[in-house]
Amino acid sequence: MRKIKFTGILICLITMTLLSSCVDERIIEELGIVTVYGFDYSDSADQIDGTTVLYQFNPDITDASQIIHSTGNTFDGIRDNANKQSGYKIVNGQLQNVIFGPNMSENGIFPYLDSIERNTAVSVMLYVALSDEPTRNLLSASNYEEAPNIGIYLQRLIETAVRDERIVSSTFHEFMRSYFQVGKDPVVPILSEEDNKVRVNGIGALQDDVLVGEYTMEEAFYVRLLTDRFDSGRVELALGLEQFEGFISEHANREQEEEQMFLTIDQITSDTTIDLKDKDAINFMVEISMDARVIELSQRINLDNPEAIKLIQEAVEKKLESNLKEVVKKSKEMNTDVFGFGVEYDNRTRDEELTKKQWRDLFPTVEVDYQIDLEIKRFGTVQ
Amino acid sequence: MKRRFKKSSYFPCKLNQLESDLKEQYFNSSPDLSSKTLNKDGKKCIVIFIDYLVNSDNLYDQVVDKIQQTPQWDNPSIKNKVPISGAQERSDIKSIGDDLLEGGACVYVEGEKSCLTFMIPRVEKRDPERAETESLIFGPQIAFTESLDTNLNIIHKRMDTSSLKVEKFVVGDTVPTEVRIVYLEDVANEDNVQELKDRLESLKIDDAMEASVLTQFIEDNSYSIFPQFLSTELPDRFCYSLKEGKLGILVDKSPSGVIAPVSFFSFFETTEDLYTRWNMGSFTRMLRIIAMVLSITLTPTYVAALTYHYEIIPDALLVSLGHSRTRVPFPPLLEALILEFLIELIREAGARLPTKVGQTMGIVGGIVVGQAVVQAGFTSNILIIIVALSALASFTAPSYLMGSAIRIIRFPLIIFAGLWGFIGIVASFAFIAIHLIKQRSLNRPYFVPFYPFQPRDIDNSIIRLPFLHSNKRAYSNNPKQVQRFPKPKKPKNNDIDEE
Amino acid sequence: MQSQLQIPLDKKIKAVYLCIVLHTVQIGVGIAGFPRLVFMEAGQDSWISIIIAAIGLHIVIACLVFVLNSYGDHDLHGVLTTTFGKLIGKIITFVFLVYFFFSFFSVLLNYIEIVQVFIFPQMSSWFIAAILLILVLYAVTGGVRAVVGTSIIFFFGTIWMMWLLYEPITYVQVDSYLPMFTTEPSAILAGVLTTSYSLLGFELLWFLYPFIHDKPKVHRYSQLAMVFTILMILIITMVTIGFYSKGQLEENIWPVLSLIKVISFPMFQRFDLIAVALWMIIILPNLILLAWMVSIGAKRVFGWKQKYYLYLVCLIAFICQYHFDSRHEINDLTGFVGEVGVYFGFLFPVLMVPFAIYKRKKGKKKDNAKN
Repeated sequence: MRKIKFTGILICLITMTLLSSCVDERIIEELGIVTVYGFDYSDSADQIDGTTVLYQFNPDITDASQIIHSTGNTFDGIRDNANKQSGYKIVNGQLQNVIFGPNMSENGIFPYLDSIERNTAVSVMLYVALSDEPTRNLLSASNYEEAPNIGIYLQRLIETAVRDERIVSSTFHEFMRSYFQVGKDPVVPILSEEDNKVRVNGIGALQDDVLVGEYTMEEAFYVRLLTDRFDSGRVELALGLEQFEGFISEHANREQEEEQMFLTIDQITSDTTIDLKDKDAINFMVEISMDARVIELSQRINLDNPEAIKLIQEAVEKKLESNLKEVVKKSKEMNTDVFGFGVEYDNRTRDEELTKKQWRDLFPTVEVDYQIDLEIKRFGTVQ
Repeated sequence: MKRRFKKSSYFPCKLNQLESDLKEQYFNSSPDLSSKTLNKDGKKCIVIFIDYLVNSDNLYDQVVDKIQQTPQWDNPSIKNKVPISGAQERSDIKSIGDDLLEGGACVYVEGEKSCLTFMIPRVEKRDPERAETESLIFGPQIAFTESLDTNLNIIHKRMDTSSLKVEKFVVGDTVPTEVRIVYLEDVANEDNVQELKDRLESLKIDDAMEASVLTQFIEDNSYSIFPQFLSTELPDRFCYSLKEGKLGILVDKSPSGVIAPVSFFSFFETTEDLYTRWNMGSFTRMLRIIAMVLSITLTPTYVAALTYHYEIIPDALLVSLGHSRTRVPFPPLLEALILEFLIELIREAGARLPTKVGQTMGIVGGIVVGQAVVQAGFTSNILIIIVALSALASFTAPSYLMGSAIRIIRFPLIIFAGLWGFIGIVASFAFIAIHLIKQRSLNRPYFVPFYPFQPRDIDNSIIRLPFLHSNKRAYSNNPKQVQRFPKPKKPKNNDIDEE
Repeated sequence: MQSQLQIPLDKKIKAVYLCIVLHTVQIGVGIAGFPRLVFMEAGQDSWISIIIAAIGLHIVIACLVFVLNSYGDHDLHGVLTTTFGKLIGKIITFVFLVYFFFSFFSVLLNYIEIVQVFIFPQMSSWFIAAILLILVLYAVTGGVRAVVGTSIIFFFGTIWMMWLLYEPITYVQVDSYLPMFTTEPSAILAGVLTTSYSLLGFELLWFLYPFIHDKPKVHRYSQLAMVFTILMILIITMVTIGFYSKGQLEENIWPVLSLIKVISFPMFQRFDLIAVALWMIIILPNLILLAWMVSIGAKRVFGWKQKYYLYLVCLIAFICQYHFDSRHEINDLTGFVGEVGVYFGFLFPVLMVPFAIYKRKKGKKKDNAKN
């Protein structure tokens, strides 16, 4: 009896197999797999110009790239319109980046990200980036190294920058996380094109989803120092030379009287805590403890002397603090809290929940004190 | 064919009549019945036998010669004189005929009330040779032969213990075949023995043919693709299983011993795992199990990913996959099926052809066809790698039957993957898992040590611990004695440099 | 008085398995959306809600096992008929069975929805239902051993997925848990209620109890299973809350599945698709155990063969799934089953305790009278 039932089940399965071939197939060679979308405001109509870069499989050429321009009102509209120009079914499952042109970022980019959030096929690990020129130009840059197309190149470019701790990571998930969080604004990398090659030019400071300013790559270090931890960061600092007068063993170039000494530290590991010291005055205390290694000194300093090392540490701490102050001041002027001071404030003030608008009003009045504790552990092979 | 025998005693009768009656009534006028009539002092005696079933040396030296030397011809004295043991007195045609068929010679002295049969069978057999289907690198290489006597001899030599019990059954109505159940009386679980005996006794078939055929008759679920009894041609494997408390079945005329009850993972064990060191043994065992899983997942995953789930393909692989797929005219499902089919063709052709040609076949099929197939744009080269890998993996299963099962269930899996993507794969896996859980081997669970969960039995099934620590038999066999040998005493825990 | 269930020894299972079986029947499709639901009630203090619910759960399990122990070898039907008489007992059991059927049905619908949202938008619901129901049929026809075995194997087949949380944990920001202890007590209580929906399933013990070989250990292992479930729910919820920011989590219907989207392996760029497919293996024990409960319960109430009820359950579920296809309907059904479940699962065992005490006293008196 049991066996008969088993065969019955088998027959059921087979009939079902025959009945249902109703799932839509997505065989890879029939797909236009998009790696990057670029969005610009169209000059003519009140529409968006989209640049879509997709894989073009062809065994005879090594790079796999096709670029389609289309216009539309929405993210999906652009995809759909691009599909009109292609024999492939355009799909977003391998999307690596979404890039917004200058006009777009000034008007808010969130509406175009909604579709990505809804669509489960799209990865949340894609990078959101801005461009300081129309993405149409940016994406037509022809030098993308060994990558099969510019989408993959951009993904590698940003990923390397994040991994090397030059910028703050801004995957789609992290972007959305900051966007939704009260008291924190998202940051995104800004790309620009030079000599037919795209590079990371800085990071953009957003007010919610509107671009209000830009940090240079040098400032990006300080943004990261306040928002994230370093595991192997690197920074170059210019220190005033006169304070080391007693320790300089020999001047590299005696004739030229220099006023500055350049110092590069790397292998920075850091840990940052932001504390709300005073609720009413909104006074924050930032404590940073860092370890680092000196990799380059533009002057020979006798590092045998512990005094010298102490002096360097103090000088670096002072320099870092002043730079941090500059960066925070700039943020306050732009009124974007990319550091998350607002989150700390919200967490410490229990009585009522902070709204985004309240924090916008409060943030420019914030006072921040710093306490940096740097320890230089190694100096390379030279003393 | 009807046979009519007289119910009343047949003897005494004329010699010629006995011969012709045998010929007509029992052997259906077969030309093979031979006879020799002897005369002495006016007394006549006939020796009847089938030429090719008796050992002619024995017949003339031990039977005919001795009869002639016998001073007085009557049954008791002939029985006395002929040195062959087990002489039977027969008094009806049927039993005489049966004896003749088993290689007996029938001696009838005229006027006697019964006739004597002596068993002098001629047995054609080959000597034990190296194992072919379950080849080993290490350890005893001897294999079972088609002769039950030889096989029992080998087993008794390997297990010289009084608790080894052999029980005899005869299975088959048309062609009675001797079947032996072998087990260690003080170890094997009685319920298992009883169950196996019941199954053999209640079996009503015409012919057992071969051990693997008999197995299919007495298995728990004959609809399943997975074998539930393990058949092996290695006596050391057989004996090892007996020591573990399992039961062995030997069938006459079959070169394989059958072991029951077994678990799913028994099919991935070899005795070599025991002969090599424990860490090597564990490694190869896990390798085989991983190979089995890979073998059934790789191609379906390829098909599912390329047909439905392009998202999961890593971007580094996407380009080369896409490039090679653009030239392929078939959907991935068909592509994979064609290639899998090709591999199966090569395998089957290699198996059917003589060894030397078979090797050439493998090279031609594998290298030449494989190369050409890719160059012609028939399949993508990544699929070639995947299919070859999964074929290779399926051959690591030491049991031929399990290897074949794995190779075959791949096909439905590929089809389901091609129809419903990962949902199809996962559903198929769930189905296989439920099937394995429901499966039983000689009424014992098949999927031990995972269900019923026996953490202790993971030793000796998935991995192998050092012998010092694996002094117990698998619980899942429910042996009478769990302990194989007392656990060796640990050396005193001295400090590093202390003596 | 109802005769005790006679179950042959070789059909019985060890109490240790309860550890896993009760756990698998509790963890299922609900966990994918649970963190959001509890977060919407109790916010970052959700863990308090979960712990309060856990304490309640342990008490309820203690009551349940106490009741079962006082009645001997009885299942729910036996307990009810001994206490309330045949008719009322049968009616209450039947109501229970209807509730179990609805839980079965809501698991089925929820998984169908997940598949359609995450993998195959065009795969028809009847087809996914058919696959699942065939697997359920195939497993349940194997009897209690196969049912328990499936949940154990499938548990081991999916528990490794907890390691997938490792990657999301690196994205966790401690800010999300702050400020602590600021949620209103009423909100915490609402969170407790939400949590208790997703802890349901332990009612299985009502039916599995007679099949257990070593009864004295039932209590220990049931409690252990509960600890296990609670820990799992707690870990998943905490990771989810830390992973998202507030607004983001409130928008996401299946935060746990979306969380898996950040995972990528060298051979699989995206693991979420595989995880959703594998989710089938997480919910199958749910379906199988519930179908087994309904079918064996129906057999106890009405007689007739268990397998016919099994076919009936699958058939009804298959037909009914045609009528549920929008998010709202499924949500309503799931919510309804959860609310009702709180009474059936949590309240009922506590209500039965006085009867059990009475029964124990009566039993003692009888013993004394005999002596």
